[in-house]
Amino acid sequence: MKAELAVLLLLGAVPALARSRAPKHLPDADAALATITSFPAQPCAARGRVQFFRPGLKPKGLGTTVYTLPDGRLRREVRDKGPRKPAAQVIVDDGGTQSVYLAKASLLWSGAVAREPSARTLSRLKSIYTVAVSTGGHVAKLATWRLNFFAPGGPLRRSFWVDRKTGLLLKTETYRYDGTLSRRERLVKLEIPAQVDPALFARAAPSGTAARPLIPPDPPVAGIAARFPRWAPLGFLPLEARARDGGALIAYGDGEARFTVFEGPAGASSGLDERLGREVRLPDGMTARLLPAGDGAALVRRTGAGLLVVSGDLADEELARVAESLEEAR
Amino acid sequence: MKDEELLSDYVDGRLAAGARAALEARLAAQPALARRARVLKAMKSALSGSAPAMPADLKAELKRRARARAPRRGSSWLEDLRSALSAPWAYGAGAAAFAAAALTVVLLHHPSGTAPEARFSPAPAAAFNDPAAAEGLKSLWRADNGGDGDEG
Repeated sequence: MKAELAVLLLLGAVPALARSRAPKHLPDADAALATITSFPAQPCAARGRVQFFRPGLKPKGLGTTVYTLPDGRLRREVRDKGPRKPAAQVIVDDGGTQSVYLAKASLLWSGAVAREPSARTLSRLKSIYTVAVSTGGHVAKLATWRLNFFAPGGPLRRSFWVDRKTGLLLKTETYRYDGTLSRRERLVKLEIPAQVDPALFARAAPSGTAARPLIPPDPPVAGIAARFPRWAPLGFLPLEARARDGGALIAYGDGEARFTVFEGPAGASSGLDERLGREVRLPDGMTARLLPAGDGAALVRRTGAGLLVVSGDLADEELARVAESLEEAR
Repeated sequence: MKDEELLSDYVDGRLAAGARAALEARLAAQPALARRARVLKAMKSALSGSAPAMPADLKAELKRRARARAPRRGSSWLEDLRSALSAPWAYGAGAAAFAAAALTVVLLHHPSGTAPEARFSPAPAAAFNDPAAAEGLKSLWRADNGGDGDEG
């Protein structure tokens, strides 16, 4: 009995000890940002949750299991019937190729998706947001710092929660321009180091499954070559490309969230009030405007060559990265 | 048969000779009934005589609207229209409403004088379409309580 009591006390003391070792002084924003793109230095397994909030509708969510290796390989599984059932979706990213497998439909997408250098990711965040650090409570039982990303002089657009000790990104939230929560992604249970079989990263689908291109060949639309972006957030797939208003409209989705890419002639209407929002200079040197678009957000870039509008349920820096990846497609 | 139905069949020339003679006798004796007949004739003339033939899509749209507005037991759109016109005061308003509805549909279907084919032509076919992806991704999501808690 005494032994059991001692074990219980010990177990109860572990989180307190962990908290006591975590840094207590707020880091500056650059220091807090520096580590968010890094992978754990040891094999990692984690359970997570993605939630999507649409105004006036009930929230939707999906449970994830994520495995990572220190070299950056990643596997994310979505399970809709408990941890013992087969995954409904598997995404494997080895740093050069990404594969997405939908088990029920036995469909596999695969394609080259280059990993972005950390410096560019951080540069984009700094060019778009003003960053402030605060205490963030606990995520997956780990003490965190909260990084708040504001539109300069404007509303809170995004928050990251990072582990105070390791700097690992544990949770993100994206907000609409009206301040309401749009999307939350968080780890709920983290295991480092974990026993992770390297074979998990070999493939997403059973061997022999024919793969569709993750980035489809650019189709001719309305007399121009519609370009699929070379990057989309994890879990998004290309759904449609069609002519619209003298240009080409491409739609992506992850089942709940959606975004579109419109490329049209110079002088075409974006359908948005482009006086709103703010102008940003992106890491590729181009300027663009970030502004509200319905329940979501949009990036509008006008040049002499034409109009580009990326809009939908994405965070501002995701809109920007999609836009930049289109330039890479040229 | 109600007077409205009689009048409608009379205006449409569908009454048998005996019934037509009887109704004409009543029209001579009843000014109110005669006025309703004249309004009905005027409507018919306006809608069929001077106007071009009703496009099939317009007719279908009017039928759809009439059915939607009158969820009663299996009555046709024409019967609904007749019913709406049954009160004497309703003839003018009903005719105006009918004409307005027809005008609305015509305007909707012929924007800025463009040919109806332009409006009804199907949207350009998608150059790329992956409905299996959309369906498969949708099935991943479940109702969520929206909470923000750790797992035990």
